[in-house]
Amino acid sequence: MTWLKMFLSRFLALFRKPELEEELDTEVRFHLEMETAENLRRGMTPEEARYAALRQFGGVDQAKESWRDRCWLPQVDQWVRDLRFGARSLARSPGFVTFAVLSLALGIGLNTAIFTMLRALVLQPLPYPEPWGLVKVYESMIWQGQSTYGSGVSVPNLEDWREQNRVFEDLAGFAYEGANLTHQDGAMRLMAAEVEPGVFPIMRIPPLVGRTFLPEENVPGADRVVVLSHGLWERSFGADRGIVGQKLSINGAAHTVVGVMPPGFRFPPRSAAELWTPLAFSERMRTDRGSHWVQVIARLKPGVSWVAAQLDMSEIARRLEKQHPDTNATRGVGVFPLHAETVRAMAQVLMVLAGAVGFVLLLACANVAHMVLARAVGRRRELSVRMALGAGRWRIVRLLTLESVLLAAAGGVAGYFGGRWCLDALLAFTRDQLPAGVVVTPDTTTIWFCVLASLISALLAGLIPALRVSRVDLQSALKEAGSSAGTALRRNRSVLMVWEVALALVLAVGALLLMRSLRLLNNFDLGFQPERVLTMKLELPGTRYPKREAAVAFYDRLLEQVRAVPGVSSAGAINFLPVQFSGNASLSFTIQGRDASPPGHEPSAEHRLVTPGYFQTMGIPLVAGRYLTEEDRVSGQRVVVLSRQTAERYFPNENPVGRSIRYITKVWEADWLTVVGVVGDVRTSGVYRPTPTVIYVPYGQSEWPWSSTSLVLRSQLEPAQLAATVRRLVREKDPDAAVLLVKTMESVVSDSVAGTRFLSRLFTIFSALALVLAVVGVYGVMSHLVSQRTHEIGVRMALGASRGEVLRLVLARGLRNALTGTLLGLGCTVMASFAMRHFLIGIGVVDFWTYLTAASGIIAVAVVASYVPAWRASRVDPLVALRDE
Amino acid sequence: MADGKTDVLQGTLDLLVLKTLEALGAQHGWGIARRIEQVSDDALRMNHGTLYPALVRLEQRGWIRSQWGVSDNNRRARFYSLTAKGRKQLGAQEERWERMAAIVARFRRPFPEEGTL
Repeated sequence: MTWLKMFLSRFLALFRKPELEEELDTEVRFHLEMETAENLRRGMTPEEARYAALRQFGGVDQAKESWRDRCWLPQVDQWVRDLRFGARSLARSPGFVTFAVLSLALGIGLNTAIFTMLRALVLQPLPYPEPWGLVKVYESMIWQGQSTYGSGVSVPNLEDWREQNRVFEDLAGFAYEGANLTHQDGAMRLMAAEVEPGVFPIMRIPPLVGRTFLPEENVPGADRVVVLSHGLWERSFGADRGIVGQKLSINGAAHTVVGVMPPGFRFPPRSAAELWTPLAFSERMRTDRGSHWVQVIARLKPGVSWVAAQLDMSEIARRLEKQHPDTNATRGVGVFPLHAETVRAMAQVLMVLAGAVGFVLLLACANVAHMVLARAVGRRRELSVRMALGAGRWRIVRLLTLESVLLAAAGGVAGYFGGRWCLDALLAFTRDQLPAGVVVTPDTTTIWFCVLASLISALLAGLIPALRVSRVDLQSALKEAGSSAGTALRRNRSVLMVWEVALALVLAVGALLLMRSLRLLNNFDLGFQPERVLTMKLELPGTRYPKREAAVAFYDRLLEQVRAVPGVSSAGAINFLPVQFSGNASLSFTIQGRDASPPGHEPSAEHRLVTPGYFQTMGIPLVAGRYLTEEDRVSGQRVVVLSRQTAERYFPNENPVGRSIRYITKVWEADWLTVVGVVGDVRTSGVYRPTPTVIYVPYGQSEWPWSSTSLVLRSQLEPAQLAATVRRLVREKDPDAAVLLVKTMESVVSDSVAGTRFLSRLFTIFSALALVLAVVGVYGVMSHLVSQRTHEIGVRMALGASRGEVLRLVLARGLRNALTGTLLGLGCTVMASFAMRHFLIGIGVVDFWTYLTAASGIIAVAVVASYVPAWRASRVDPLVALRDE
Repeated sequence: MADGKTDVLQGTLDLLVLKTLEALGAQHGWGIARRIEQVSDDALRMNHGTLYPALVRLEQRGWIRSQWGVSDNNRRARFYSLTAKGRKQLGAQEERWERMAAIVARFRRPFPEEGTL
């Protein structure tokens, strides 16, 4: 503490320097006068007395100097002086300052913007009390030798887990659900979730009004209650506390409102669910160990890590496997931190972006470092004089570094504001893709990040060059103005150029890979023709259509009417649109006339329900047999259509048409289904994913009651007009049914690659910036090399070198650096593009042509940038160059 | 030390200043210097200039405080005086010195040789 107090008092003294100096002066003068008077009394002559007093005092100036050393912080004094000197010397070269500050501001600003997003969307803990204890629990499936995670959980398994585990405070199931809320102005389609009553205690957030669900409310019959989100409560019910106890029509059934959650409560995390109803398990669900559909969240007991939880759960899974070999063979458990699960997709995009902007900042630093180095070389004389007068190496380093600290500080301030602007632009650009309930806004941490980025830039751009320069033997530099002292520095500059080329290459390859991915997408065989197809999602209130027949009748009539609309050439429906739905709904089956496969190795395929007319509307070609027709009903023969891959994989070298398959399931009484046709393959589970095997079942013969469907219409009509017509037709039939997500099939496809498009656009911008920085850098390095070697070039020319030879000499130098940089860059590129593998479509991480294009492009740019300095070198007049000495 | 005077030992100046202020009360720089010389019968050689950095240091530590006042001959002068903290510190310093002196004294006396008892 004393140390701190002394430091503080010395620091404060800095601001009172003139006053303190004056006081010391008075004190010393008084002292000398007293001593002189004393000496006079002793009988000295006035002159003798004064001298004796001064002698006794022992050097007034030295005493004052050592007093100053004690009184305040002389180091700070020096720092301030150096800082002022730096500012003055920068002010003399405004061009340099402008460019350096701009490039640093660019780098720092971009990094600040991306960091702010990364922090809000990825690093920030989820907004629940003690969020690190929350985990998601999946069933894992070992299918054909591979373990895949992410499968839902069957209800009996969940209940066994709940009973047997020793690691969780509680586990609770939930399911994503849509809800049709009928309100004054028609049916409102809302995101909703069905949750077990345990979810709210697990999330540890109490309701704002009323209560959450009681444990006994997860039984069918007792489950007609609803908890509202704060947003919905305010928007639709005017934040009326009296809403509790009132009845709302949800999915066509009356539900009693029991509570309202506080603002900011989101469940599932970051979803847009606006109301919660109890997840009630029917008797059939409670016994069906083979349907895996419940999502499970859990809270770890204090002191239990998720790894320990994983071990305990694996133990339980092994036990269940023994008890229920028919359903649980090949089933394991995966426990994952909820945070990592929630942010994974965002983290993938933002980490790639963070890497890209990091490279831009490095490039900017390399450029500024080079300029600082060039300036330092120009100031060699001045620095030598300073050293000769006793300045230590540290002092010189400080002098040079402080200049870049000033630059970085200016760059940091400009970067902060530029970064906020970038952030706004990014947010406007990504509005639709951001998760609900996350506010991305700059705060103090952003400022600290900005300060840190500036500091690192200052060190990279200033300290390293300063250390190099100060190591050069300045005595020899003092003696000769020649260039021999600059050899080491020249090598340093080449290193900088090599790095700039490498960094620019990495970004260029990234941008090219993404651009090619998007271009490939245009010619990409999706398996269907998305042009002029309009899609929309239709949600029937489940309670109104408990039986499949009711829903079938609804769709039959609707499709009939829609087909009759003038301008509509065909129409159909499917339960999950291709490309859009990336989850899996695969079912295992057996083939008639073949031996049963061991568990986990049965044939399996994605299960899709389609209406007649679906394939024709989507333009999916028929490969063999026939399409589905209106005759494929409950009354007719049970039929299915296979995708080409399904046929090839499970019926190699034979005609599947006429053969029969049967689903392995306990949910319904499975019949033998006859294959009547084979259709072309479609990118069913998203553009990025390999085409899976698919089996199409006619919706009229479906065993599942299905409430959610996507209509597809092929038409020449204006999409908006057509959508309005369909909406009217739907409402006439059932006011509780909701029409949503009206989109052309083309935009469904392009939305599914939004991540790639987003990255591609940003990468194009970043790599263009990087290229500009690299060009400036290469040009700067080469110009400087030439100007340093003017004398040498003059000698060469005097000895008979032609202009062409000089030109080649300099260009060769540039080319050599560019080649080295390219080689270095290619190494980094492989790693960098591996990080982007999730966003590449139809193109490998190591794509020869992309790499070749980018590399030759960068080399060409580097050579062009070297050409002007080279040309200037070849114009050197040997006489002038030699006289220059 | 041809003139038989001793330099002020490194680190002893603090103690001398504190001791002086304890004896005289508030005193200006010159007064302190004179007193140190007088007490030591002019046997200590001290550049008066070194006194001032020492005074600043003691003041920064909070052991002494200073105030501008008027001297006997009616001149403006800065008077230094001991603080409570300084008084405590003086005790500690004196004790340390005594211990130190005792140790040094013990080294000056020859050790009894083994077996002479």
